Amino acid sequence: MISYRGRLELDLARWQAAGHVSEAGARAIRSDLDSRGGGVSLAPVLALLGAVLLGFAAMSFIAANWQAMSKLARLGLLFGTLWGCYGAAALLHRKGLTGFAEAAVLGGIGMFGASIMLIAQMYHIEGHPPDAVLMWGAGALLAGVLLGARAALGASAVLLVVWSGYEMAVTDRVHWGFLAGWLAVTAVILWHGWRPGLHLSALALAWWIASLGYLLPLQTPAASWFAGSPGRHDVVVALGLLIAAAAWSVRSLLDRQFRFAWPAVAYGLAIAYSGLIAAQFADRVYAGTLALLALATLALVIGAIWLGARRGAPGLVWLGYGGFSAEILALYAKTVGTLMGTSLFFFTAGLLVIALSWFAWWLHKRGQAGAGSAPLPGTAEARA
Amino acid sequence: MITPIFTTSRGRLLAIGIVALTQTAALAWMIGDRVRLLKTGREIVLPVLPVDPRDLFRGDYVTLSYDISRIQLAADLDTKPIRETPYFVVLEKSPDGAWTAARTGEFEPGPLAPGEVLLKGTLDRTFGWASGRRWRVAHFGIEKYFVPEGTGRQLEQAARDKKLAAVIAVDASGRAAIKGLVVDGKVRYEEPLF
Repeated sequence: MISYRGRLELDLARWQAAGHVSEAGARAIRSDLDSRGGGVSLAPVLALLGAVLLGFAAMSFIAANWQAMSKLARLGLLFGTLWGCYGAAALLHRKGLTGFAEAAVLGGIGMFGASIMLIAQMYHIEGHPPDAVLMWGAGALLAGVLLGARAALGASAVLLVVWSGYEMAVTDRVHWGFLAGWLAVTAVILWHGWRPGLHLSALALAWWIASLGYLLPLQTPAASWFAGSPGRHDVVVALGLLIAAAAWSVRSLLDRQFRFAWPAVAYGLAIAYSGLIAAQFADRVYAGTLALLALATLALVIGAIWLGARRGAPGLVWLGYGGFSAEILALYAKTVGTLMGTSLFFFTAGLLVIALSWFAWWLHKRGQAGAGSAPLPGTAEARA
Repeated sequence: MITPIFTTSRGRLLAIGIVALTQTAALAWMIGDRVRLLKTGREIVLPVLPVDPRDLFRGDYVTLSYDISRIQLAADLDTKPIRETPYFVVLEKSPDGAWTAARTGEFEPGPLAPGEVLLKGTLDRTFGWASGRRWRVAHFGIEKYFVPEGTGRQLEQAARDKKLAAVIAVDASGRAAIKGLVVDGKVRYEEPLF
């Protein structure tokens, strides 16, 4: 994949040749890009990965030589390493090496988690095991708040999901505590204006909403739209559509504040899609219900593709294509040899795909006939 | 790094210090809480039951099961009980010196008689649901004991020969911690506080 800089150079050459951009304009664009630092640089990223590897090395070394040490020596080692990491972070910061300092902070957070686990092991503390993950995540969030370290914020988002998943596994119930943690992590991400972190936050929320379909108690079997299916995936679908609609109605605000309008719509639709998929394939359904759900899924997917192509959101179009393929494959796996038979399935799927391609072509034509700006599926038209 | 609160170089050092101190304090609290329980808790000895050997030894720790860990359920129960509900056991010392359950229940029992010890646990999974021989497992936080590598099998054998017992410290609120293991009447694994 070509970097943004690489693509820009190609485009600049083309635009200059076509006379769209002057020589001075191209120079100004290049210097603007240079002054903004040009995205991710390799060295700090490698340092981050190195910190993670060192953390694992420390843990396995400790595990291997643990019994040979006295309890006090083990505690000294844990606290010493923890402070060593943060000391290194402070030192690197004084030298202006912020990327490396961030790696050291991540190392400290890893040591904090390892210390929780190893102290629990030393003192045979069992308690409620998810609490250990919660404590770890809170420590990571604290580092995220005070230091604004992205790696720390990312770690706290991941630990939030691990904590919540652990709670669900232990209790078999909806974990409402997730929402409090999610609000805290998301607030810090927004406050620091870390846009990729918003994706992490949205993914975590989408995962949690999808879990509702499996864990929400059934009121009455008839309360589910999907008679015959024991999960509450209808709630997941409804919430997903609600999120997509809400994001759509405040899209200009979302775009102005966080450049996150399209992703928010896409996440909402993806949540609805995951609910439909779960209702079709995770539970037992009647053949008639399955057909209806499959139709609804295809309608959702085609709607997403249409919206994305029409409004110039290539991400949504690709998500739609992916969702379409996954739905067809899953339907194939479920129905082959039972309901329709292989050949009928392929026939139906083939007709659908051809219909979809015709639809895409028609959209493309319409776009060209319109304002001259052709939002071909997959082209970046409206990034702003 | 992005828009930190502490933008000056000294402020940044302060922020890193606060993070390190807070995390250290949290770990120290974990240790202090446990040491206090081990030091001041009332000491009881519970025999360890032989369990399925596949379950007992898992690499670096042994799973300990007690008489109070298994609860027989009524055969005509028609809904599975909710997991992670509280469970209380009041233990008393029988004349032969063994600690046995005097009362059990899902609600906190009334005042204890002198000589009685309260254990607070949680109810977990239900087993044998289909077969009708239904029982539940209760956890008291004293079911996992980490042992030096390679010694797990010996403990497993001792438990199967009914020669294994656990020394437990219990505080007034019913929280419990393992102080050590007794094999064949002799204390074999004793936990130093630090």
